[in-house]
Amino acid sequence: MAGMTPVNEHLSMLLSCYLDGALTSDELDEVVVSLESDLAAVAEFRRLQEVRRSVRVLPILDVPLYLMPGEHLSEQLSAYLDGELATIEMPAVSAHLDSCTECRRELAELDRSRTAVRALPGLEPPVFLEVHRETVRETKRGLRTALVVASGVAAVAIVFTVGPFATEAEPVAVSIADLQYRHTAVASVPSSGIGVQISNAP
Amino acid sequence: MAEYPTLTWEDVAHRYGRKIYTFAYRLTGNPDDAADLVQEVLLKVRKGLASYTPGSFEGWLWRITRNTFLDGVRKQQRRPTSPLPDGDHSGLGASPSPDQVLASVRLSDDVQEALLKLPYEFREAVVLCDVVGLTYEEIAAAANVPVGTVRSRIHRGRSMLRGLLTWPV
Repeated sequence: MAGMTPVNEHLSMLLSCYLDGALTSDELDEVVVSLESDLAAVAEFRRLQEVRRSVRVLPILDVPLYLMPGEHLSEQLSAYLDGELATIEMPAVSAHLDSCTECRRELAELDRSRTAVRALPGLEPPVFLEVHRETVRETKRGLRTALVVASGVAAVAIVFTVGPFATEAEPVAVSIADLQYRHTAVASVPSSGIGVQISNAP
Repeated sequence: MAEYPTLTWEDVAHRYGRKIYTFAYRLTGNPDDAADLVQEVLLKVRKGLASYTPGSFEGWLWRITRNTFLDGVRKQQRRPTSPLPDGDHSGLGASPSPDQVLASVRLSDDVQEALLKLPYEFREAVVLCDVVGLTYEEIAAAANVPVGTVRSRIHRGRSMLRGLLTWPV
């Protein structure tokens, strides 16, 4: 506000304290007089009040649940098992595990499941896939030769005819149903044989 | 000043956890630092409650919080990350008054950024007063400084914020 003498630092601080109800009775008298007689003091008070409001409306934030007693870890457990937990989370998760029987039990169960899945045997590809792969290789070799010697329309025709086999990725032409059938037939290890049984830790 | 002779650390966690977390977040702008602080403070409270002698519990708790913050997180302070979504305005206090709602039109991200630009002592005093809701006496006890220093720090912090925030015409 033009023409007003700025309030001094002392009065400005008293106005700030006044907002918080932190004045002595003498100081309160001084502030009340200033606010009744000094427009600059009123303007300063309004500015400080606005700043105070801006900070006070900042919300109180929620704490990550796993830090709270009675709450439990969830996705952090799998990450913990896999060594994928952010370094910053490790102390909190470890401390929670130290004090929470339920989360330790959950971790043990996840570990058993994870171990069981990892213990599944690597499967030999079914014989028919080997045969099929050879066929694909032969076809590709033939195709390359054909592409070199053939010209014009004939070459294009070959490409369109055997197009699916002409890619670089060596696709294996087998239906999902076939694969499932063959897989089931070979993967005959009973689940009990690899210790999948889940039980509570003693 | 309240006294809590039979308070357990779980009570402390539930009653003060959000405020401790918010205190650290407003000081650092980093949720990981804030989570660290909550964890460390709760561990210290758990160990310290047995030897806690009845008195100003708030002063005791916030002294632990502040010292833990200064000892640990501040030394290896991370860069502020993108602000947390401040959509949750369900503070622990009463519903905001109409003028508070008007004031909230200012993006809280701007206020957070401005807070981070304050020198630590002023930022801490403003946050303890206006975010956490401590009295000047409680802040003085937590920071181990005279009340006069608290008054000055809060005032100077607010004056600086006034210069940092842009105001609607």
